[in-house]
Amino acid sequence: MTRPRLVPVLLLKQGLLVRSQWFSVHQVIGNPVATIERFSHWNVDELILLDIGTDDHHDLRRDDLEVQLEGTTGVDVLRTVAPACLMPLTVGGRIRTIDDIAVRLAAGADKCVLTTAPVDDPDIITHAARRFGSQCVVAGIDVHRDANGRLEVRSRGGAHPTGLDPVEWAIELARRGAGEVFLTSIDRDGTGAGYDLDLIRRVVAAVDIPVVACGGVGTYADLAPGITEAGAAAVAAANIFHFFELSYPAAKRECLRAGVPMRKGSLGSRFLTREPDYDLARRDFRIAERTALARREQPRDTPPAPPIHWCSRCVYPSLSAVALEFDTEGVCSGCRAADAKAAISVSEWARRRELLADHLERHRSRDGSRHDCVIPVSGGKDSWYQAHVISKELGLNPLLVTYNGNNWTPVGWRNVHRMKEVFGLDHVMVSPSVRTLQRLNRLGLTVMGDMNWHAHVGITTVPVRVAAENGIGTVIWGEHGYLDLGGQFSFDDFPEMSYRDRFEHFARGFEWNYFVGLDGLQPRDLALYAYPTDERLLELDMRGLYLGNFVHWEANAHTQMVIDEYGFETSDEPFDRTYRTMSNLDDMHENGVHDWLKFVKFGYGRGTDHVCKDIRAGLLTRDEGISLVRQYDHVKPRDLKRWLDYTGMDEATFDRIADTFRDPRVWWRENGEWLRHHIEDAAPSAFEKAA
Amino acid sequence: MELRSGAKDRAPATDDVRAVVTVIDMGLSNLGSVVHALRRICVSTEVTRDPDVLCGAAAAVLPGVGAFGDGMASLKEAGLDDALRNHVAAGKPLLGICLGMQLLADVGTEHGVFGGLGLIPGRVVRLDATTRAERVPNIGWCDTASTTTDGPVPRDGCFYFVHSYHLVPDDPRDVAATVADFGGFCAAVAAGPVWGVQFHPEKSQDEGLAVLEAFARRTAMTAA
Repeated sequence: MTRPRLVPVLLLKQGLLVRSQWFSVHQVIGNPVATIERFSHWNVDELILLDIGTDDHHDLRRDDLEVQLEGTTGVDVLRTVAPACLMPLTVGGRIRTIDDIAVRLAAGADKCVLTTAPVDDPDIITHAARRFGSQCVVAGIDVHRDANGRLEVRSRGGAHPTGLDPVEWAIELARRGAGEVFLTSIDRDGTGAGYDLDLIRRVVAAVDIPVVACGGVGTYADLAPGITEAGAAAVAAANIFHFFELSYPAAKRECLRAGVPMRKGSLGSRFLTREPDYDLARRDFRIAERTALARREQPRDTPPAPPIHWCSRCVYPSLSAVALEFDTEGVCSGCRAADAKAAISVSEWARRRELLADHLERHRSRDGSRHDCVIPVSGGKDSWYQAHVISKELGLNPLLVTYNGNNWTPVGWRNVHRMKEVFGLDHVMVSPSVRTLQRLNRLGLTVMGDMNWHAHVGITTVPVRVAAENGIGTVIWGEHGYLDLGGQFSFDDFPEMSYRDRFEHFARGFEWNYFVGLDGLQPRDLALYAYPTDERLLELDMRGLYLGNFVHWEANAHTQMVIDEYGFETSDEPFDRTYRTMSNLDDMHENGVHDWLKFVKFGYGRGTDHVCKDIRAGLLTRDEGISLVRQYDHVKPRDLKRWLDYTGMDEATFDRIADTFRDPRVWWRENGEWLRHHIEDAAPSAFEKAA
Repeated sequence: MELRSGAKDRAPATDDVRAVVTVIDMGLSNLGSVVHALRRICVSTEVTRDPDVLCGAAAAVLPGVGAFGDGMASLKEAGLDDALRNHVAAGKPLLGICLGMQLLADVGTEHGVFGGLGLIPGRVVRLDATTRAERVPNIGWCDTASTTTDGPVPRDGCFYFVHSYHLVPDDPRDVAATVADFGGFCAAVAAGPVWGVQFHPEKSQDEGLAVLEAFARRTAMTAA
């Protein structure tokens, strides 16, 4: 038989990948290009790309990311990703005319999904099938089931009731020449409640063309019934493929185990690499261009940036390093995620803790020949809390693993070394050569305006390497930073650390091999930054669990606990850029130079991050927060001096390189000064003046 | 430890510079995908709708999606039908993909009866579902069984198909691979310089790219 397909769906909104719930809540989870390339590398059966944006325009201009998208429309995204799509690509969203289809097919699509257009004029299906053939015309049918179980087709992204019955509508569109039905349950979308099998069964029985089922998959086990019980030709899902290591191969394995005769597929390709095949000429050109720009003594004046706005509850700006969505009340997705977290009941937290305990129990070492799991530790408050929960509360034997980025504060250094004694656990510290670190610091600044690339990638790579080398398949991370700050996921997604997270967020698309040949760096200098192979990850069923998804995370309370119980030390000296004294003691530059660079790029810093956390935790009012932001965000930190001595750079050079990364949507230059909009301040002023 | 997961050194399918593959633009094909796939295996391509350019080509790929009649009309309009026949008569390799394979036949029967290129004697007819699980169009991955090692698909494989019609060659010796579904149909043909595949090699990942590699190697041998 034609093998049933397993199909990931990617949702694009204004050029960014989003997570969707009930067709109405969309949380940004990243840039599509890296994800599509990863799917290609996994040899997926087919990919569906739906543009659910409201404007056919996006601005992904982030000068510090490796991937630069040409153009500003959904079709431009398609053109960018098509060369890497060695699998069938189906495209939908914003298709109104026959020409829209032609443009997409020419840009690299193999099939087009039409959902709203046929509701307005069913003839478009007839004409499209005549012109392009039925095989590339997919009828999209979004179905809402009301409380009485009545089914109705909806259009315009689920917003518009049509009065149409899904079964009759499917028959009509098939009669008009549609070659396939893409059937989505609106009310199951993003809920993880499983497919609406009754709906699928009815449509499958009514038409002779293949039906692709979508909407409701929460676990890999939800996929197979769409085929075995409801008769779909393909099962599709969106959210689930984003959150776990090797999600697609793992989902496929689960379907095959359930007896679905899918194509077995392989991991990896002879023709693709997981680590990008960088265009070295383009790389060198970008670096040369930036260096030339930085040599210019006086940057030119630029036009004022358009207004930005701030979350009405916390103090995040609309343009931030963390992609935020704002709702109709002007509240950001980070605050909404905090609400969702606060609404989680005590009994739900108890259930989550059981899930964790159960996972760890199943994966612990039976004979003691290895450790039960790895905990990446920087020696900070979160590390101590993780070690406490895993070893003291759950009674496991974790291996503590530290990436030594050579930027410790004296307090942080004492804290990390005391863990093995305080908790009675084994500890591995991996220390790259200082020469390599110095080079990576300098290159990080020039390449992406962040000298701490090495730290972010080191921290997210080394513990997984050590785990893989020791046959350990579980790594316990702390809090999901992006969920906490920006609310990109739902707590019900249980997002995990994965190659994708590391590559896209922590590495910004710059893999270790990007640096080969720069400043004399050789592959052997960078081996510590290479993630384990996919084959090894799959073999170990590697999972990177975030403890914050299983136990209620309250950083301030946890800090107090580890101080009282174990003698954790906080900083005796305040930081320059934040009022918190308990964070980032492992890396003096993380709260310093690194964060200053974030301010130079986006106009805000760690003061804002910490204020947002504390407003959400009820520890600060918004007004108190704003005054802290105004006190800390613009401060140039003193640790810059150490960094300049360490890397052998002078301050003027540093400043000029940093200035080339200023985001023109935030900063403009007037009469030799950098200006930006200020929170609660109608008139823009220069930070130099504000200082 | 292997540093780059899945990474292999990517060697060109052939280093013969004469092995440029000319891709025919029918105006209604997924041209981009085919060109991207050929580039991925490091084969140089040129895209054309000009019969004179085809005349000087070492090898040609005829990709296509859409209806038989429209495809043939488009080729005739540009004078590409005769150019393709001359190309094959000169012994130069041709690979038809999906509709491009169907157009190799004498006759097509989609939305009417139309004459084809006549390079593979046979007719193009509609797929018939033989069970409730079989659906037309046939969209998805099908297992293929090879009937010759000397064609586009030397080994049994699994490829991506999207089609409602299939080519039935008059001469069973022209069949290079078959699929057992839908009562059995021809998945690939090979007759002298003419190859055709009903599936989409450019969308069938490693196994598909291997078909294009085989075609490129053949091109290099013919050119040499």
